[in-house]
Amino acid sequence: MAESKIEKFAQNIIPPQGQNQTEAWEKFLASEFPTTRDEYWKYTRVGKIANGNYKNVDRVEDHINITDDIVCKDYLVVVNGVIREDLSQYTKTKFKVEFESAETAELNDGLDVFGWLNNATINRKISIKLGKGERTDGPLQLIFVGYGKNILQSSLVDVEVGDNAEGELVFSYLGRNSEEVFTNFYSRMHVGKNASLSVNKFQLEEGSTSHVSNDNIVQENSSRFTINTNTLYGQLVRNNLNIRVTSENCETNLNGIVMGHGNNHVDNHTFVSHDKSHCVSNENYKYVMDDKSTGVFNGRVIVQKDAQQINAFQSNGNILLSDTASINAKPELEIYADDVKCSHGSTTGQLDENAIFYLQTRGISKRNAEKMLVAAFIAEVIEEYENEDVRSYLFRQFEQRFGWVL
Amino acid sequence: MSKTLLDIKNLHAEIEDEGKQILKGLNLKVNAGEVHAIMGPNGAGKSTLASVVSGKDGYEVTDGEINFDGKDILDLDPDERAKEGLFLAFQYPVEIPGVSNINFLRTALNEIKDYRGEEQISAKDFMAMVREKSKLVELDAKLASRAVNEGFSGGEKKRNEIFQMAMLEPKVSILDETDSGLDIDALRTVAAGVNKLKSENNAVVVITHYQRLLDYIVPDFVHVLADGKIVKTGDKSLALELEEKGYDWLTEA
Repeated sequence: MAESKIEKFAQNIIPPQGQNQTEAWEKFLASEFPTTRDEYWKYTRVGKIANGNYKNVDRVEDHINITDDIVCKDYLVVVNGVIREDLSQYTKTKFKVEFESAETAELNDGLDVFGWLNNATINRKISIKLGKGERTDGPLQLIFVGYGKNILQSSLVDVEVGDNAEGELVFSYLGRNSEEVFTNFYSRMHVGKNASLSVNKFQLEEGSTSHVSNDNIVQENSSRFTINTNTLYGQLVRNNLNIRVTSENCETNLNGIVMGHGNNHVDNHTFVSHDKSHCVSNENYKYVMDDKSTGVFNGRVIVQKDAQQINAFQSNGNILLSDTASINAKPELEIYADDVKCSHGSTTGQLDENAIFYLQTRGISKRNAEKMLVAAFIAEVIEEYENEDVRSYLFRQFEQRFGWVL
Repeated sequence: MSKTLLDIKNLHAEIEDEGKQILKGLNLKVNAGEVHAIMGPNGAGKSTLASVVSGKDGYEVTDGEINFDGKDILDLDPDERAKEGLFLAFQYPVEIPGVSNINFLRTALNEIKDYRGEEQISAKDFMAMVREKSKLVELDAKLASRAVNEGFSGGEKKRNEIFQMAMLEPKVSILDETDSGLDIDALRTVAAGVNKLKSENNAVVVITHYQRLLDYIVPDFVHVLADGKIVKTGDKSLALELEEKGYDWLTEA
């Protein structure tokens, strides 16, 4: 019998030992990779991942320099999916950080092929808890580093923010000497009553890294959740962001910026389900696509039947810097309640030629004029970010990586 | 004799996509210390002249030359022409949301200085310069730091153009219908600003429909541009004559 795609993919991956993970592994082996015939994968081909030759590894001992990317006092470093307490420092944070053996950790149910693979191949589960009424002083940063060649790195993070608590997290994904790395990230975040959680994601994986993120958020009554997804690098990036607003008086903010270059492909699939009344969600994603890069934005919002007086705003703006870059944008609003305010807008265009000419007549080169306009376009999103350290880190990334002063 | 700053010879230019010829053998010589006014009926090619001299895309020069301070600038990009010392005040200044007036001017000034091999301006000196120059056109300091032209009134936009001119200290400034959309007070302010910037080392080319602006910015030469050519040149009294008689008497022949 011919080897299936999944079997071929799995050939260098060490199968798990524990019962839970073995179950997940079997479910993974029985799954199939999505194809462009699947509605939610229509514009994203996962061939780069499916045809990869990945192995999961234990600890790497080489020196890994991440100093420049540490933005928080407290940080936890994970290299190739392996938690590295020796490189971490998180004594000051009010978050309670625990690690659970993958053999005993409670895993998920009803996952897709990437979810099963994640659960089956994690090393240890990361559990982050903020007690009732606690407030963090500055974010806790989780730094995931892909290192080496043909690496599969899976991480599973559970976040629990207790009632009336307020916490901030930063998830950084980096590549170091990385080649053909596949980052498979899965998170579950629970935001308690009247609690607040703010998450900043920095996807900065250089080299030929593919990345699939599944972030699953549940919001309780009167809670606030903000996530800013910043994708500056990554050969193939797919972010699934699923937010369930289960109760009333909640606020949800989803922002994103994407810088497409080379042959990169970046896909953000967001999903917000408003289950109950009196909630607000604001979504703003901006893409700047250069070279032959391709982008996908799919913003799905459901307002359930019992969810009256919902304000759901969605905005997606895209700039194509080259003739060979492209974007597929699709808002999906499903509204079953009758007293709601929902809006969405998606624009795709090029930089304003008149503005470029105007700047040029003042002595600014065309390239710099373009940079200025892109910076202005992107900065509109970043200015909404509440954490000043995060903002300045991002501005620094733009300057160092693209020579762009925002 | 004073130095020739802008020397346009037998300029022929057409709109690229349409192949429609707009400028048909235009000659214009502007020396340091001079103010020139270019007047003419609608569609004569006044704004095209401003666009072609500043290097805007979409126009093709099919014949003739443009020399700037002794240098052929036809192959230069718009920013390089600006770096050589050319300035264009727009008829319709472009609004650029998110780009601050101050930041972009500092970038511009430093790019120009870099091109000329001069030292970069310090933040302190730059801000002092902003304060000084914004007074010149009575531009509110708050406007100077806002996004370029965004939400500016018509008058504020034009004052901002002259403020930028003051900051960049060009050798030749082309003012493209700077008087359009201005009330009389704003017109006076803008004109006073231009007059203060005038020196024996620079020159101003004023493109206008109306004589009114020329009461405030007094030209040494008035040219009539009709059908892509300068058909008549005179002193400031020509402007008054045009105001009275219109353009027909010049174009009919």
